[in-house]
Amino acid sequence: MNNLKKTALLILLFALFIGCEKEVDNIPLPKAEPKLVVYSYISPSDSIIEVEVFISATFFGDNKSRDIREAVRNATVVISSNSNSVLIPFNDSSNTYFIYNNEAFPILAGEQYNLVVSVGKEFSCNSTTTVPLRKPDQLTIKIDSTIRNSSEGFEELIYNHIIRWNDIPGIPNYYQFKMNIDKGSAFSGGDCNEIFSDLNNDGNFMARSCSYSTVSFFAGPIEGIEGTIYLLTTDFSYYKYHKSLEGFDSENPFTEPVKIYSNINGGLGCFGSYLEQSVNFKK
Amino acid sequence: MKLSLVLLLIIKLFSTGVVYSQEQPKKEKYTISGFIKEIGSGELLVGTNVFVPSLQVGTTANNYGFYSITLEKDSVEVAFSFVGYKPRLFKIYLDKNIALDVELSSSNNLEAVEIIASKREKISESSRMSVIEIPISQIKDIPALLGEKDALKVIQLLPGVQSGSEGNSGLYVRGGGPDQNLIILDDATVYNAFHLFGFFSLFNGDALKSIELTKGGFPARYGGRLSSVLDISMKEGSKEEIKGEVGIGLISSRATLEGPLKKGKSSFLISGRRTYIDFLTKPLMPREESFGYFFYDFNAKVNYDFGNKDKLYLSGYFGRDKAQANYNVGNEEFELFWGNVTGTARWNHLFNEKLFANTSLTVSDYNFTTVNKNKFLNQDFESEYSSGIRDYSIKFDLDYRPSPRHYIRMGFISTYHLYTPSAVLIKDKALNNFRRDILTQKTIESGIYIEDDVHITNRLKVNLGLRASHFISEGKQYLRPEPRISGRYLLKKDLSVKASFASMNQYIHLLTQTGVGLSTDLWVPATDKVPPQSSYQFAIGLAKDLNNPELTVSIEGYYKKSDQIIGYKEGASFLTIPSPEDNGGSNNTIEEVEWESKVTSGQGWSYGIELFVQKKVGRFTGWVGYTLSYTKLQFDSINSGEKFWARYDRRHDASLVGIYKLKENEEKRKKITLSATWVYGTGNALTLPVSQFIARPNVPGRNPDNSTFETLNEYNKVNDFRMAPYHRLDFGIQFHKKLEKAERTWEISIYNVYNRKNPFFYYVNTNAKNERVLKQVSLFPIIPSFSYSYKF
Repeated sequence: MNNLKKTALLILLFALFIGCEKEVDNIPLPKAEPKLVVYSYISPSDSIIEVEVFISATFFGDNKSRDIREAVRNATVVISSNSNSVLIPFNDSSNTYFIYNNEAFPILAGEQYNLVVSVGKEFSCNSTTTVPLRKPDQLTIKIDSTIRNSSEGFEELIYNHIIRWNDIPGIPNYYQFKMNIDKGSAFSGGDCNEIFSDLNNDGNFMARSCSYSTVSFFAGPIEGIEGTIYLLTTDFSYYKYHKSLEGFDSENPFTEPVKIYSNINGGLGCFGSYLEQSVNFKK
Repeated sequence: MKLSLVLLLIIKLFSTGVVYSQEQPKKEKYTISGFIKEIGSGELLVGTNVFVPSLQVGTTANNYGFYSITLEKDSVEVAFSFVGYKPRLFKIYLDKNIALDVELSSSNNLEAVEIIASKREKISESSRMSVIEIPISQIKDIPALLGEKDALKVIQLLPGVQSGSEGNSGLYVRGGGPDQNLIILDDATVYNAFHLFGFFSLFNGDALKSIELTKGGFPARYGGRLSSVLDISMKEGSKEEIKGEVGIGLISSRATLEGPLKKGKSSFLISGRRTYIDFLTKPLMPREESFGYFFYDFNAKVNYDFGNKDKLYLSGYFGRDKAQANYNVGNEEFELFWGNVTGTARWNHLFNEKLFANTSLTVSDYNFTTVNKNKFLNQDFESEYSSGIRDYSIKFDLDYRPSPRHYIRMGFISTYHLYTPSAVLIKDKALNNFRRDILTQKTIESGIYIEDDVHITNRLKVNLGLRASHFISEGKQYLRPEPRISGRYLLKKDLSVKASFASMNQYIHLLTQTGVGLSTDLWVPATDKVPPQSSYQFAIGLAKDLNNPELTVSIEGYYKKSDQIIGYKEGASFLTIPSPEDNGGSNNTIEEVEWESKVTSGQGWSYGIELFVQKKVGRFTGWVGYTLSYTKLQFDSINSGEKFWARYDRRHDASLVGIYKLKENEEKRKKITLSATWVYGTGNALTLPVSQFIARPNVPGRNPDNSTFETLNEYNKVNDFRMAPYHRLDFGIQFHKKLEKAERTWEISIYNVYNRKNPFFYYVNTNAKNERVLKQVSLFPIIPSFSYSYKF
C-alpha cells in the first residue's frame, strides 16, 4: 500500500472516529431483478465452444437469492451461424456448456455467430460476435538478455521478450498480449497480460514486451524455464469487456465506479471471439 | 475578428466621452482625490462610496482606499459613506485640484444613520452583478462549528455557493468545482485554503479586512479560473495605537497584535492561531498506537507611508497542518503534513490625482508530504512522497479616472509556476539504498487587461473589459481573448435590470481524490493531452434597494457552459499514481502511471436562479438566500458518453442568517448579540451498484481457476441516486462587556441544534440478517461550544 492510500485511509478513519453511523432508511435504494450472466469466447483455434451461465443478484437487501458463483445447469444454450444452429448441452464435469469445435459446427474467421440463452420463461438473453477475419502478419519474437547489478550485491539475469507485428491497416484492431511461464519459475516477472487497440497506430508496426529475471547469486542461474507468448486478435466486445475489467478494483474504496461492458442483450457478461497466434520459448 | 470589434467598441466609448465634454461650453475641471481611512486606526476603507448629490455622480475607493473624482469648477458638496461608518459631507469650492484624505468613524453595530445629503452604496446602481461582499464583523457574529469563525463557511451560506459535504469548507460556485475558484490573499494565489482535511479554512478572521466573492460577470482584471474569484485583503494594522485581541476556544487559541511602527506613517499586524487537540488527546492514546493532529497559521503585514504619493506594503501568510500516526510501539510511523506560504510586496504610486498605480510581487507555495518510517531491527526504512506548486508573480495595475463617467483600469500579471507533482525519496538502511525521484514542470501564465466602468447615460452604466490570457508550457502555448461585459439599466429609482457575459480560461488542473480529496490535492498544468479548461457565462437579473426596511434584493438567473473540464476516467484512482514501488511488472504500462492517462476532458452545463435578500444595517442584520440550480456533465468515456448529474448538482439550496444586537445596557456597559443560521440543501448525487455478478475473463493458455471468482458490480447510470438532504440550525449568543480600556466577549454557540444526522458519506455493509445495506456516516451531532476573547 502506498503512502497516498494510507493518507486517504487516515482521513476515513478520522471520519469514522468522530462520526456516528446508521443504516440508511430515508432514501430509496436501487432494486434490480436477477439477470442471466453469460460468458463465451470462441476461436477457430480453440478445440471447444464453451459457454458459462450464471445469474446476477440484486445488490441491496434480499440475500436469499442463489449464489452468483453457482453455474446455472438448466439453461437452453443455442449457438448459430448463418448456415447452422446447434444446442450446447451442460457438462457436469466442467460445470459449463460445451461442444467440440469441429466440422459439425466450426468456428471460422470472419463469420458471425449468435448465442441465445434461456432458462424456462423467466430468463432469456442473446448476443452476437463476429470472429476477426485476419491475423496480423510479420510477427517476430526477439529475446534479449541483460545482466543487472542490483544494489543488494548480486547479479540478476534478465530476459526480455519482445513481440513485434504489423497491424492490419484500414480497420480497427484489438489485441490481447499474454506471456505465461509454463514450466519452472522465474525470480520475478514473466507473467504479463495486456489488452489494447491499434488506436493511433493503424497499419504500423506494433510491439509489446515482457521480461523475467533469474538470479545467479544464491541458487545460480535458474534453468529450464519454458513458456508461451500469445497474441490474440479480438473482436470489439472482447476488448471492451476486458478493458473495463482492468479498471475495476474492488479493494480500493476511492476509485470511480466502473461500468462493466456487456454485449449480452437482456443479461450481463460477454460473448467474444478471437484469432490466436502463439510462440513457445525455452531457456 | 471578434477581438478587433471589441477594441473598436472600447475606442468608440472613450471617444464618446470626449464628445460629451466638447459639446458643452468649455469649463475648467479639477480633481478631488485622496485616501479614505478609519478614525483611530488609519485602516484604509476599501469600496467607500463617494457621491456628489447635486450632480448625481460618484465613484468608489479602490482596493487601497484611494478615490479620485474630477468635476467642473464650482461649489460642490461631496459625501463619503461606507456601511458601518458614519457618513461625512464636505462643502468644497473647487477652483484647483484638492487632495482630501477623509477619516470615517465606525458607527455602532452597523446602525443605519441619518443620511443627510449622502446616500449609501446601492446595488441597483452598480454596474457589476453576481458580487457579494461580506463585512468581516458579520463573520465574527455568525455561529460556527466548535466556535472557529470561518470566512469560507460564511461564504457557503450565500446563494450560488454550496458546500461539498458536512463541515467541509470547499466552495462549489454555480456548479463549478473547488478547483475552479481563484482565491487570492493580498494578490497572492492560495492553492489549498483548508486546515484539518477541509473542516476549517486557513483564513483567520482577526487578520482580515475585506472579502469579496464574484460568481459571474467577472471584471477583466480577474482571470485564471472558471467559476469564482474570492479576493481577500489583510488588515494593515493600526497606525495610531497598539491594539490586540486574544481568543481562547475549544480547539484553538488565537492572538493578534497591531500598532504603529512610526505613528501615522507605518504600522504592523501579526496574528496567529494554533490548535491543541494533540495535547488534549495525547494522554488518552494507548502506547502501542497513537494519533495526533494540529495546525497553526500565522499572518503578518507591515506598511510604510512615504507620503501621499507612495506606500509600501509587505504581507505574508504561513500555515502548516500535521497529522501523525504511530503503530507498533513507535516502530512504524506515518506522517502527513501540508501547508501554504504566501508573500506579497506591494507598492502604491500616485502618478497624479487621476492616475493610481499598484505593483505587486508575490510568491505562493503549497506543498504536501507523506512520510512512512519503519524501524526494523535497527534497519530503518523511510519513504517520503511530496507534491506541490510554487508561483512567482509580478502584477501591475493602473487606475485612471478621467471624469466621473469613466473609471478605467488596466494592467498585466505574469506568473511563473513551478509544479512538483511528484517527488519521492526512499531511504533503506538495510539495503543501503537511497533513491530520489523528482518530477518538475514549469509554465508561465500571463494576462493583460483593460476595463472601463462607464456611464453611457444616467440610466445605463456598463463595465466593459477585455482580457487576453497567455500560457506557455513545455512546447505548447495558448493565447486566448476573454471578453467581459456587465451593466445595469435603471428602470426607475432604486430598481435596475442587470446583465453580464464573461469568458474565462483555466490553465491549471486540480487532481483530487474522489469523495475524500482534501489535502492530497495535486495541481498540474494544462498539457497537449489535457488542454486548458474554458467557460462562458451569461447572467441576467434585477436589483432593488428598499429604504424602509433598508434591504437589498437581487434575483439573478445564470447559464454557464464549460469546456475541457477534467473528470476521472472510470476506475481511476489518484492514490496509485505516483507510487514508485508499483513501477515494476510489465514493461508496457508506463503510460498508466501518468496522470494524463487517468483524466478525461468533457463539458459541463450549469444554470439556475438565485434570490438574495440582505439587510446590512440596523440592529437586525442578515440575509435570506435561495438557489435553484442544475449542473450536468458529459465525458465521452464516462457513463457511455451520456450526460449525467454532477456529484454536487443541488436542486435546492437555501440559507437563513440572522444577527440581532440587543440594546446596550449603558450602565453596565454590556451588550448581547444573538445569531442563528439555518441551511438546507438537496443531497449530493451518488452512484450505487444495482446488482452483483461474477467476472470470467479469458486467459490465453490457462484454464480459469474456478475458485477465484471476482465479483463485479452492475451500475445503471452515473450519479443517479441522491444522498439524504442536508439541513442544520446553528445558534450563537455573545456577551460583550466594555472594560476600562478593553472589551471582553463570551460566546456560547450550538452547532446542529436539533441534532440532525446529516450524511457525510455512505458505505456498503451487511446487517444482522446478512443482507447488504447502505450505511450512513454522520459527522457532527449537536455540538455546544464556548469561547472567550479579549480585545484591547
